[in-house]
Amino acid sequence: MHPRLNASSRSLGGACRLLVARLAAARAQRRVAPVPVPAVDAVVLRTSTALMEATTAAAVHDAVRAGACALTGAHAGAVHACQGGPGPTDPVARRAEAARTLVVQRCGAGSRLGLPLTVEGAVVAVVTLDVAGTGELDGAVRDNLLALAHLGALACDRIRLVDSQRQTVEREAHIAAQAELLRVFAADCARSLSMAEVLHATVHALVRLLRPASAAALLACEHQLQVVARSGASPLRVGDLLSVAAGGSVVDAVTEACAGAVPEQRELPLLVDGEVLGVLALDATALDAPAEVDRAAFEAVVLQATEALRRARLHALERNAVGGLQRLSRQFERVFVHHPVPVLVCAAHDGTILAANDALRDSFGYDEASLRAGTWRDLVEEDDWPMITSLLRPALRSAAPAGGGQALVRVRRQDRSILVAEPYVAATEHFAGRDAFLLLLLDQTRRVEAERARRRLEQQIMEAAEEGRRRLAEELHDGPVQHLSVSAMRLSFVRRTLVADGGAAPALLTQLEQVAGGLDDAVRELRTTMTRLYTPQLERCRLGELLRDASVSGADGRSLLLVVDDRLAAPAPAAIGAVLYRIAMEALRNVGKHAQATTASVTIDEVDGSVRLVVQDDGVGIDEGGVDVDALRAAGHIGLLSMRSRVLMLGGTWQIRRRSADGGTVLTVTVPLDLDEPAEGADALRAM
Amino acid sequence: MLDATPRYRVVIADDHPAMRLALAELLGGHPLLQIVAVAADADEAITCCTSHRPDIALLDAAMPRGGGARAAAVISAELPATRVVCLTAYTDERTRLEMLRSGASAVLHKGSGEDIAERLVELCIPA
Repeated sequence: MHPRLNASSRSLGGACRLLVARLAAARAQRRVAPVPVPAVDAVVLRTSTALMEATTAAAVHDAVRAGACALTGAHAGAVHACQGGPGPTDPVARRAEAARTLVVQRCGAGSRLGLPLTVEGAVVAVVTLDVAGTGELDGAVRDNLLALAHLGALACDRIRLVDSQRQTVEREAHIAAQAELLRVFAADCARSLSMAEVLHATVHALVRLLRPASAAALLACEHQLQVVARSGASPLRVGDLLSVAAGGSVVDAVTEACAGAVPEQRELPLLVDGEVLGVLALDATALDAPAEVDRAAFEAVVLQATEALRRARLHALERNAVGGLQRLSRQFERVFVHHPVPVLVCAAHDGTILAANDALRDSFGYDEASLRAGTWRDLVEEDDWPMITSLLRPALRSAAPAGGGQALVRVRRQDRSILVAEPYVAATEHFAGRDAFLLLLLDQTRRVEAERARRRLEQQIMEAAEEGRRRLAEELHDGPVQHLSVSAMRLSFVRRTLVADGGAAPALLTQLEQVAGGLDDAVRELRTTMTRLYTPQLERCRLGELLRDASVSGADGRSLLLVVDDRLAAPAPAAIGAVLYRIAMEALRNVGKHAQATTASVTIDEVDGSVRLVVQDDGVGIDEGGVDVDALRAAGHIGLLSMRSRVLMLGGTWQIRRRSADGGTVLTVTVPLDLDEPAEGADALRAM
Repeated sequence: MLDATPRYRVVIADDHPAMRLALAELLGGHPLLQIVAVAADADEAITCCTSHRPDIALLDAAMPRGGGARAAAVISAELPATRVVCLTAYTDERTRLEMLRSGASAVLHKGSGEDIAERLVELCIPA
C-alpha cells in the first residue's frame, strides 16, 4: 500500500518536498532514477478518504483541488488519448494501462501532467498536475499517480451509480405517482355521472400529470366549458378539431398530436361515438419530447375521459328515459323500485344499436362489442317484433313514451336463454349524429314466474278441494246412504209383512210408515248433498248435457224454462267443467230463489282461449250498480262469493250485471282453458 | 202347489256388503225368487250370470269395474233369456237412460219404499 503521510502536508509544495525526500531514500533501495516530480502521492493519499466519501462529481473535484490538483471534465481529446490503440480487455487492467501510458507519455513532455479518470473504458474526468520539472517518474511516484487515478475513477463510478440509482428511484416514483393519479382519475370518472364532472376530473388529472412547468391544459366541451387551465394562447374552437377527430382513433390522435408539427399546440379530441365532446389542448412549449411513460399516461387519461363521457352521456339519456317511464308507470300503477335496473338501448331509426347501458351486460349478458354491429331485433324474439314496432310508431310521433301495461316480449340472452321483459319505447334526441329512439326492457321474468307459480298453487288448492269433495261424497254414498237405504228397505219389508199378516195395529203401521218415509227423506237429502259436492257424470258427460238435466224451480214452486246452449267444440277439461257446472247450478238456484223469472238460459262457448259461461234470466234483475262484494258478504250470500273466488283462483273473470232497464240478470264467467298458464302474457310464456 | 211353482233364479250384484246382505235376505224370502249368486262388481256379476244363467240379474248402477251399465250390456248380449234389472241410488234421468240403453229391462230405485221382490216377479211373468 501507499505510505501514509501526515496531515500537515497540505500544500503541493510541501507534499512534493516530502515525496522527494522519500523518493531519495527509496531510490537507493530500488535503484530508480530520481526525477523532479510533484508530490502527487501525498495529495492522493491525504485526500483519498474525501474522494471515497464524495457523492457528487463536484465533491471529487474539490477533493482533488484540495491537493492542488485540477479536475476537468472529460473531453474528446482526453478520450482519444486514453483510448488510442488496442488495450487489455479487462476494464481494470485497461484502465491502469491507459493511465500508465498517459503518464509515461506526458512525463517528459512539459509542465502539465494529465491523468484520466476512466470508468469502464470511458474517461469521466482528467486530473491535471502542474509538474515543476521534467524527467522520468520514479516508479513509486508513478504507482501513486496510478492509485490516484484508480481512486478517482472509483469515486466517479460510485457517483455515477448513485446518480443512476437516484434517477431510477425518481423515475419509479414518477411512474407510481402517475399510476396513482390515473387510479384516482378513473375512480372520479366512475363516480361522475355528469359530463361537467368528468371534464373537470380530466383537466385536474392532466394538470397534475403534466407537472406544473408544462401543465397548461385547455378544455372545450360543446362550446360551453372553455378554458379551465391554460397559460397564454387563445381558446380553441371545437369546429377546428373535427377534421382531426374524424380521421382515426383516439390513440392515433394522441400519437399524432404528441408528435405534432406544431408542438406548442397539441390538441386531443375527446371522441365519443364519432362526436367530439371535448378537446384537450396542451400548451406544450414546455413539454419537449414527452417521455414514453408520460405519453402513455396522457393517453390513458384521454381514453378514460372519453369512456367516462360516453357513460355520462348515456346516463343522462337513461335518467331522462327512466324519469319519463316512471311518470308513465305511475299511470299504470306499477312500481319500478322492485325491478332490476332496466336495460336501456339507444337505437337508430333503422334499428341499429348505438349505445346501451351496463344493465344489458348485467341482465342479458351481452358485451357491448357484440351488439355494436347489431340491431334491437337481435335481442327480441322474432314473433315479438311487431309488439315493439307497434309501440315505436306512436312513440316517434309524439313525445310521450309508449309501453307498459300487459305487453310482454321475449328477450334472448347472449347464452340463448329467454327472458320475459316489459318493453317501453321513447323518442330521443340525436345520438351519435343519427335520429334515435330509446328501447327500455324491464325484466319481468321473476314476476311472471311468480304469477305462474301462484296460479299453479291456486290450481292445486282447487284440485285438492275438488278431491276433498269427491271423497266426502264417496264416504256419504258408501256409508250413511247405504245404511239408511238398507234400513228403509228392511223397514218397508217389515211393514208389508205386517200388512199381509193383517195382525198389526193401524197406529203401529202408521208409525212404521213415517219412520220409513223419514229414512227415505234422509237418503234423498244426502243424495242431493252428494251431487252438489261431486258430480261423477261430469267425467263422462258434456257440461251442456248435464245442465239440460237440471230443473229450476221458482220460489213459488213453478218450473222455469231452461235453455242450454253448449257451443264448445270439445268438452272442457274436467277441472274447469266441474267448476263451471257448480257455478251454473248455483246461479240457476239463485235465479229460482230470487229472480222471479220464467226463463233462464245458459250459454257455454270459447272466447280467446277461455271458456265463457253466461247465465241469464228474465227476472226482476239486480240493482243497476251491480253487485257489491262487501254487501254480499255482509248479507251472507256465500254462494255468489264462493263462485267468484273459485273463478278468480283459476285466473278467470266474474261479472254480474243487470241485463237491461227492464230487468233480468246476466252472470258472465270466464276461465282460461290452459290452466297451467296465466292469461296475461300467455304467448310470451309458452316459449319458456 | 207352491213347491211345484218354479222359482225365478236371481243374481244380485252390489258393491256394498250391507245392501247385498239385505237384498239377499229380503228377495230370498220371497216364495217366487231364489238367489243363486251374489256379486260385488261388474266382472263378478258377468261371471256369475254366465255360470248360473239366472232369470234375473239385479245390478247396482254404480259398481266398480265398469259399473252396472257395462255388466248389463254384456249380460243382455250374451244371455238373452236373463232379464237385467238395474237397482240404483241415483234418481236422475241420465242414469236411468244409460242403464236402459245398456240392456236393462227396468230401473228400480233404492230406498223408494217399493217392494223390489214383487217388481222382479212382475217383470218375469210373461205378459
